[in-house]
Amino acid sequence: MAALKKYINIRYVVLFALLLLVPLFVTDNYLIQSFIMILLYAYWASSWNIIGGYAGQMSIGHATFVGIGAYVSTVLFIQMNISPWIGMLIGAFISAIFGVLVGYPTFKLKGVYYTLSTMALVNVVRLYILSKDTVFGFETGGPLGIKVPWRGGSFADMQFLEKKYYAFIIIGMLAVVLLVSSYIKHSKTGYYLAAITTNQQAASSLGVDVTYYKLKAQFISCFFTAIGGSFYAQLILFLDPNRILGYDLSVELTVLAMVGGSSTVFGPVLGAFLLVPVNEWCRINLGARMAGLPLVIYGLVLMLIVYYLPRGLLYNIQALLKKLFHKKAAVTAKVGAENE
Amino acid sequence: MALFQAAISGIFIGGVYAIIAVGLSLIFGVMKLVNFAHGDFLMAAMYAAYGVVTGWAMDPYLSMFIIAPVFFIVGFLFQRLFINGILKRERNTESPNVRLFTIGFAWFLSNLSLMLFGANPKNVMTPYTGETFKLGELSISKPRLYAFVIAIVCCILLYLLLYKTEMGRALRAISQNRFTATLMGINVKRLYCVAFGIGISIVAIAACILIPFYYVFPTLSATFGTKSFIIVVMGGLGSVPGAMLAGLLVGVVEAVFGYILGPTTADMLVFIIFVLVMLLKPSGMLGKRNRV
Repeated sequence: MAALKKYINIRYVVLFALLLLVPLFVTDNYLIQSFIMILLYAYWASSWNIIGGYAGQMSIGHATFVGIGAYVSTVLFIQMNISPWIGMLIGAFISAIFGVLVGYPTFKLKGVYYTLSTMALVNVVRLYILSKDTVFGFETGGPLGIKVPWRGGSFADMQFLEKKYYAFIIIGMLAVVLLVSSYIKHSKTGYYLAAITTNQQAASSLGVDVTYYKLKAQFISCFFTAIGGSFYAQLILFLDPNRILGYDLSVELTVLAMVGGSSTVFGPVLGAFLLVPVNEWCRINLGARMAGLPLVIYGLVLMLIVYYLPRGLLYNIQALLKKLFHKKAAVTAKVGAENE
Repeated sequence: MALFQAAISGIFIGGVYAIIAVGLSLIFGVMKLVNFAHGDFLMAAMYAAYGVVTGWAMDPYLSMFIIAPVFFIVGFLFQRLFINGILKRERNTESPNVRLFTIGFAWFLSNLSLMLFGANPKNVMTPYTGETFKLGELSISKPRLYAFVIAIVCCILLYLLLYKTEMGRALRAISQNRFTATLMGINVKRLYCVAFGIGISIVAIAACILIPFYYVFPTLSATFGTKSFIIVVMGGLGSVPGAMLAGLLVGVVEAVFGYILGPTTADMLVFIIFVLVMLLKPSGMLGKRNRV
């Protein structure tokens, strides 16, 4: 328990307790669906952060791993009747191993070259799925995607009539990924990764095995990203290869994590909680009237944040809080001094 | 024969890829920053060209002389007002923040045009759209041939600008080492703006030569933008001849293998070749380190 205490901040416990209350009291289907999507994006952004933030490898191809998770669990579910709970783990391992295999050569590339190689990766995988109807003997439907059959809703099939159960699952998943994320950040691996991000050559000359630690981060990151993909498949019940293997989704995950504050535990969650609702709200309220307007606003918000708050929202919010509380403390001290 | 025909049209479209990539390459080489909105600048310039050609009944090749200077100013101001402001706070130009900013701008631009012009592809009818030269059994599309010639001429002009003029020397100096360049009395901030302006005006020229035979739509950058990144890296960071060679290569691979294996597989092959080039020779086909 004492060991766990190091990684669990009491504020997070309170936050998760509050999150758990939402599905209990909100009954509106649309609201709860939006709530689930926000948490899912927070989950994905946190998973991305392990490789993109901690290890400093700005990947814009993470949708590949979302897609692998979603496709593996769905294909196993439809064609071999394997429960998505097991399929999601199989998908996660396949995705993690795939991540390590592509990571091994590409981690040698520096900076923007790595970023561009991940962009190529997501396109290759998407085009491959689009061009084939069957992959390794499994039907993947090519450009049509896969429709996940509704099997009446049971825990074993990870299908529920009431949305609130999905919300409970994703809250649990987010808690796990944040715990892992926090654990990594405060472990030897985290310090090594921070050293690599700050100065790779210096870290390497001090005996840090750069490739090993990057691959380790990649394994963990791809593992969790894929689990999110399997969850998404059971939630939406439809796999569109252009969406879940797409460049746009990849970029969204990156943006959420970086805007919130990459290489912090809580930054990606904050990014998702602030930006996904903006996007959803614009999409619902403005999208019907004028196609394109929601993303125009989203793009502008992103540009403004990057321009004015380059260190991430978390940093700025923390700085603001510090300022407020310090001011208060200073005032109290002053009053106290005057009284004496 | 059909294969040869495919190769010819591959070379022609490759010339257009090359000119788009050269614009990106200049920005990439001088500032070491990847402009993720490059394809969207192309799209915007194509809408502008579309407007000029249909609105003022102007010849598309003539419209170049209006569109290119306008987009030079657009690029200059974009760098002056936004990117320089971000760079001021960063230690190096390779900062992820600049990348994020251009990604945001790309969303903004492509969706703004979706809002203003709708999702339907637009194309212009010119006297030479659909016209061909007959060369034995080969038929050569006139606008594609013109596009190819203009693209190659522009690439050569840019090459001369970089290697034969004082400004070109300054730009190359910055790309080699911007701190030393500053010490030599080069105004780095201003030349960044100029480089960005030139890069965007080259894209505007590409837009004008594309519009007679290619339709324009808001998500155009998914095709042209992604390809230009690939070509720049394949050719070698900031190398103009490299970008030209890689552009032609991508055009030919796409057309020939598209004919044999189908377009999706050909697209995939282009990405695979790209990754292989990057892994085997990260400096690109004709790249030396630090070269414009």
